[in-house]
Amino acid sequence: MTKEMNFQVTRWVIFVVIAIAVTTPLILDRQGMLHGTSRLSESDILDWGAFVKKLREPGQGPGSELVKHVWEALPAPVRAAVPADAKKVNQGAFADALNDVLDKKGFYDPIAWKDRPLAPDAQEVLAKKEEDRSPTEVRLVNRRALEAAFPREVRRIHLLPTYSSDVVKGLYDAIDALPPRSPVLFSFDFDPGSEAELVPQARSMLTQCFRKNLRVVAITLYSVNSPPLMNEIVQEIAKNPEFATTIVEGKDYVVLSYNPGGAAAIINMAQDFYMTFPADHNGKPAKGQAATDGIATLKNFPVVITLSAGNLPDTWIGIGQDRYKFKLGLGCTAVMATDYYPRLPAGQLVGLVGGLGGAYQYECLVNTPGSATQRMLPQSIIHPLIILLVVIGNVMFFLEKRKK
Amino acid sequence: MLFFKRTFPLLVAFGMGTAFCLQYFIPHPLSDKASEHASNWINIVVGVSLLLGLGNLAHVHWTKFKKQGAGWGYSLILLTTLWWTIVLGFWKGIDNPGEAGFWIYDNVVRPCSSTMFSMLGFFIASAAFRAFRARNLESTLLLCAAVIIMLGQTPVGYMISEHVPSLSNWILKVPNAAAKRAIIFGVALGVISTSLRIIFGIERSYLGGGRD
Repeated sequence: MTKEMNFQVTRWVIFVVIAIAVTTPLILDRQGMLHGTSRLSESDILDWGAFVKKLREPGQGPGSELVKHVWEALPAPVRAAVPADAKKVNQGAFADALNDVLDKKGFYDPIAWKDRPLAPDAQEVLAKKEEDRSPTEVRLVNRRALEAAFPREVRRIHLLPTYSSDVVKGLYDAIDALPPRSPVLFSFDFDPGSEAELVPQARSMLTQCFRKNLRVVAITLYSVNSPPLMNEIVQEIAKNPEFATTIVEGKDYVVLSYNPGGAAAIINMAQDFYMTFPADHNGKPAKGQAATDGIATLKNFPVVITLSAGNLPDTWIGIGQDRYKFKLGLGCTAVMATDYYPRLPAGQLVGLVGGLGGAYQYECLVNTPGSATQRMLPQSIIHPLIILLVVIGNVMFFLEKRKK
Repeated sequence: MLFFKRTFPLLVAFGMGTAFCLQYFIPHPLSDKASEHASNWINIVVGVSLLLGLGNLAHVHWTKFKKQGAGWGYSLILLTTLWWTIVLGFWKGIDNPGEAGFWIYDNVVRPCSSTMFSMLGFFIASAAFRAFRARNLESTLLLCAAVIIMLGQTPVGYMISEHVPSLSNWILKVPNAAAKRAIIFGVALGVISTSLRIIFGIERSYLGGGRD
């Protein structure tokens, strides 16, 4: 094989592989694949106890009308058979009864679900005329409606497998173990350059905190470009229809500002939090707001999370965690993640969420597929593609070597 | 003059360096207070250095523009955008949507930063294609580790086998962490030795000016 032929072969192989990578997401019948999985299984109810309790006692909070709607859609004998003790519920039979409900056309009511928009794939089906919808499409819409009514209890289906590593779960568990109203400090130490990786992480973590009724305090030590981004993410999650009017600025969260001090800012926060961050983004004093109630110094935060694109995690560990002994969680870009693995067994980090892969795993844990899940599909094609290119490169290398 | 140019900075470095090394190990409120005061000084120095940097940047580019040096057009763009960003930031606000500074952030800073970062993906893909060659045992090991990590970072690895993400995680948690720990120790020892050299006046390059 001449050198020119080698070049030609490589060029064509690369062209074909790139063409496959680009067209695969277009060819994949996403909806068709989702329709096949929209049937509810026992394991799709993530927390049977909370699910049954919520069905029996919907209360008056946001989404309670939807829960009542689901309860009333169940046949009377099924309702009567639901025991008060969730442990005694026949999970298989109950899942079957729910599947029967999900197969019916009238379950989804656009008026009842007006404040809880369904996932985009269900919206696509809803755009069709009712008589044109196939039975599997009806079930998909109903399944999405059930997920919207029970965002924490019913698993949200998507194309990719759900899994998470212990490294990511460490941070999830640290937040999950906090009692309600505990303050969590988020340091948004990145700018728009890294938002593709770090914003999905931030969204999932904030969703978890708001669901747990924790108080969020947001700061940044990174750059002058960070405060608008920080403000946008926190406001976006706080105004999510799932939380409706329950999450209020000043009571449940406060967005502070930027301090360029780095290590000095961390030391100052440990002495007097309000000296370092005196006001929120609206210019309102940080002290005296319900979200900062009981916070005097950095030591009052049981968990601190730094979402970082630079070298600030080293400062947070060396100057902050080592000295003041709070639980520190790190969300960082994929290229940074390998640097911080030694910090985990040392106890300096409780968890590490690295890049888009980590963000996807966190979305799986929070049961809220978002942009990381969306971006994992092309990522799942590109990574094997790069491996294939590396293999081709090696084959060519060996062919050339043998020829010599 | 030599006292203020050389001896005094050396004394300050020695005094502050020694004091704040000791401060770290003294768990007393007075010691904490001293650290807090020093942190305030750092904040002031950082703030002033930002202003100094801004002034220096403007001066360099203004001079270049005035002398019509090579690439003076870029200097003009820099000065114009710098001036308008500052003016609009102070005048119309920057933090909230609808404010002029926020518009600049959303329509200029954000797409430019994202584009710059996106380029990294292409460089990494190209570098991976060229660098991962099974030339010898070490490079073959590196190649195998890279393949496992790449698969483990996406759900494709999990689809192949649930052991792929576990193996990827093990590589990161054991061999990677061991190597990184050794690097951290090495860097820490280097930082300690350089700090001691500065504190004791052996390393004087931070004073500037070359030889006395």
